[in-house]
Amino acid sequence: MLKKPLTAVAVASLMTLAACGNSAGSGDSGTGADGVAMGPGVTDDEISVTVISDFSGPIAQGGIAGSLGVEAKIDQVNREQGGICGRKVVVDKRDTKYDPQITTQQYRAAAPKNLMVAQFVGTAGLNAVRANIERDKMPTLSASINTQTLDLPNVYVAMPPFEVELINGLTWAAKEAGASASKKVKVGFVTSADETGKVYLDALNHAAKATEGLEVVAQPTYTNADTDFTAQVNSLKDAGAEIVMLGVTPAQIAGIIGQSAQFGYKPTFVSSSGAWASSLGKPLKGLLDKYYVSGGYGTLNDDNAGIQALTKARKAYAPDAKPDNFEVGGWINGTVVVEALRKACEAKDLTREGVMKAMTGLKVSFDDILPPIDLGDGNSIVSFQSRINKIGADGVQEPVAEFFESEAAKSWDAARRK
Amino acid sequence: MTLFLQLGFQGIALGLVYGLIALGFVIMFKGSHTFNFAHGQFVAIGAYVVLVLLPRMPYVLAFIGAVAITVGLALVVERLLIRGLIGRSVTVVVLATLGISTMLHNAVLMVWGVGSHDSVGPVGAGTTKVGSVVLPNSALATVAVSVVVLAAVAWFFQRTRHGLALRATASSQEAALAQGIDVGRMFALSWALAAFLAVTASIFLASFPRVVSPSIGDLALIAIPAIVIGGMDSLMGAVVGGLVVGLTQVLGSNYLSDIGGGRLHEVLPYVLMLLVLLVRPYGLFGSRSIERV
Amino acid sequence: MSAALFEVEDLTLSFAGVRALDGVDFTIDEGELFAVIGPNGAGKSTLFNCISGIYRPESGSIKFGGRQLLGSAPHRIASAGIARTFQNVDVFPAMTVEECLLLARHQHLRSGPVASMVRWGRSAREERAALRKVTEVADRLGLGGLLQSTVGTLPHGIQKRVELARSLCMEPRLLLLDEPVAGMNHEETAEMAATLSEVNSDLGVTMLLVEHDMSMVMGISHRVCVLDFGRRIALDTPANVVRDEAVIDAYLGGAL
Repeated sequence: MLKKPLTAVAVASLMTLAACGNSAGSGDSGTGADGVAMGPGVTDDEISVTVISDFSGPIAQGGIAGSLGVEAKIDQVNREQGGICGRKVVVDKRDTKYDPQITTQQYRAAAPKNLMVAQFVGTAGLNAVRANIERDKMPTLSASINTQTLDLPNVYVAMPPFEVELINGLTWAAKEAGASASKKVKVGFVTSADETGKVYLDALNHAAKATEGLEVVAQPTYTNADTDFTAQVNSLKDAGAEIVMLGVTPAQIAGIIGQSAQFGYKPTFVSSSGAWASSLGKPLKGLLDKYYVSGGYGTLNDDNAGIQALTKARKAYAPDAKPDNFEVGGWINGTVVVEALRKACEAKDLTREGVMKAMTGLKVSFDDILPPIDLGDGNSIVSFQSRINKIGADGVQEPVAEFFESEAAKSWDAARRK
Repeated sequence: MTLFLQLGFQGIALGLVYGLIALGFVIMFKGSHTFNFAHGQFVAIGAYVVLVLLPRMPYVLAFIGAVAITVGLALVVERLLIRGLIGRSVTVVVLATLGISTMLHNAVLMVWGVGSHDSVGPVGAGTTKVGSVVLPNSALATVAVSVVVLAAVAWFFQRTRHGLALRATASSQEAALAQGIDVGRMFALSWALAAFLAVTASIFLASFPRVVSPSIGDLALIAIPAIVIGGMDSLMGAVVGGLVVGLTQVLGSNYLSDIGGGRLHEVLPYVLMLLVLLVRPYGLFGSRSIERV
Repeated sequence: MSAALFEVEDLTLSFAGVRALDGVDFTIDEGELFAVIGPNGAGKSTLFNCISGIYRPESGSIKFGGRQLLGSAPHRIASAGIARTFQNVDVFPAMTVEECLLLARHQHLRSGPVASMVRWGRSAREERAALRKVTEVADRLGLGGLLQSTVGTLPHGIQKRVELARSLCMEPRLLLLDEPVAGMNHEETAEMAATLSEVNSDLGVTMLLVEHDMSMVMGISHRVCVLDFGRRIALDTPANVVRDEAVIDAYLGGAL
């Protein structure tokens, strides 16, 4: 039994060695008939971009929905405008199973064949290939929207990161609870016992300090192996936390909210958008009246031009797909890809450098799915806006307030960049 | 104290579920000398079949239906894919079961998709209070049913002729044959029994607030440290091993949360497994003669 | 004259070109205590394994009650009414004597795995009858007081006895005994010989005894078949066999 992981490591390292031999740089494939400089994955008829995501592992539900958003956007552009720069845009999907080792293999296989990464899912996986992305000069849009990936070279986050969602969520909940100098409100944070969890915890603690009337009373952590949350829930309950911020994934939501209810503990729960999956609406039916999602972008239920376009494009592209809010995030990344490629085409430079140049200072409007963003230098948070949603029928998010931004989020960002 | 009892109870409930799964592993190992890595997928398939049947019929029928389908699947896998490998090296058989596991996992993804679904436990989200300790009904049902099932399995092995025949086959196939026991049918019986235990475990592994999702199959693999701790060929050891792992996870998530960045309880079952391997390679309850796998 | 209970005809089997059995034939009559002897490598064990279905001979036939046995799986041969013991005791060490003997009743019981969980109706009657038979056999073999003992903890001689009891619980029409006194001391050997003789005469169980211990075989067998290098060199009463020139030459040498 012990042999198996060892063999896996051995095989993986062999593959790594093999892959090193043919790792392609950002070498141009020449100039097209139309005078456009062409990078990897670009021909006279096609532009190939890759989606590196979990399609069959633990977060595949979000991974697949997210990819669907990208695909629907690109399909729309291909159908309605004949592609970009006279070329059809092709999506090369790569399954990582949310495993950094497989992610590395998949990235290496995809890199020589694609102009850019239209969507990359998985903070750990992205960290595993950070050096390759830097060397390949690979423009990469991260769907793991946190500052850990934002800080990586050549990696862009086109939405407010989860930290901003959490900070905004906490300031909103504090206001709702009437926290003030004279009225102390107790808060608790649940985060994973790893690097990502620590980043969320730092952000939340900053927000708690920056907001008047909040007292942090419990900060339990969890690991992916946990299926019972008695310990976490009881530490929050015993400390009397009235607001609980959830820096978790959908795998923990049911356990934490469900067991809290069983223990007769009903605080206000607020999570980031990455923690909710609509399929959880069923098992948690009747227990979600005090659960809120702080989202950096809109939801499928919104009535605006952007969501209407997305819904129409998805129905045309994949009529049988079940609606899931992660596809909105994918649509946003897809929109950024399309805008960047257009701008690069105008500059007659469909190389990776050309795309990156186009991304610098790129302004994108999403037709009200979220307020317009400016990608800026690629290393700054593009927006501090988020919106609070509750869970409606079928587990779909419904907004309870308009987009807003908090001072705490900005001061946290300033402190973080120092 | 309340918290300790609370955690202890949840740990026992979870541990008994692991014990049911581990018991299945051990029964197959004893009955057909196969360490079946695909067992976790039987657990997953059991949960999905209950999920599909539940809206159409009463709970008991859905459960029986899931047992019938999962047992049928286990018998087909055993007869078509495993039986022919009997007598081949352990590595060949283990690789075959790994392959079957991947196949079944992908079949689950194809049929039911990657997302999570509802819970399928026999009781809902309610709780029962005993003093200051809150006992979730799902955990109570887990404990009650597991104890009954484990007792029935013990009775089966100790007091029925088919149980005796299965023990005889595990002890010596040649001697069992000489008693007129159809050893092939015993292989099948051991797989059927393991599949029944897998479905029983699955409804509790997906009891409120846990839900049916493709990760159930992987979750079930925590039974591996459980059986190594208990002993690969010990029925008693499987249950004790399961309890050790369940209690370690739940008690550890509280009392060890300040150590190792909150991750110690995640690795502790594997640490215990390695310790047992070093000190008693045949497990706490296993027999010395156990072959190395 | 009625047909023999058991008939072996022209049995031949080679391993890597060496003839382990070479045209062996003999018949055993109902109620007979028949012995097969021979020096090491004479083919005794090979013969035994052919009869119990472990080896498949190249040619020849083995008929039991007129029915061809060749090609049947070991458990079918057992179910047909042929019980066996093993040279190196093959009991189930973790079971109690009672469980071990009950197991031998397996083939006589009909209730399925689920029905046997519930002791009611036929299943209960079957179980009671099985327990009666087990107690009866255990008493006869002097194991009555040991029914609740774990087999693995008993001395070797007793384990051999348990194995014999187990085969008798099957109520066989033919009992194959593979060196039943191997590893026993003088006293135990005498006891076992007496028991076998008694079982044969009192219960009328036909026996095929493969043995190394000459004196024991000669004392209790009705007829003896002598094998040497896979061939039958004699088949007669014990008294005649010990006088047979070929046997003395090939096997007994100057020992007698």
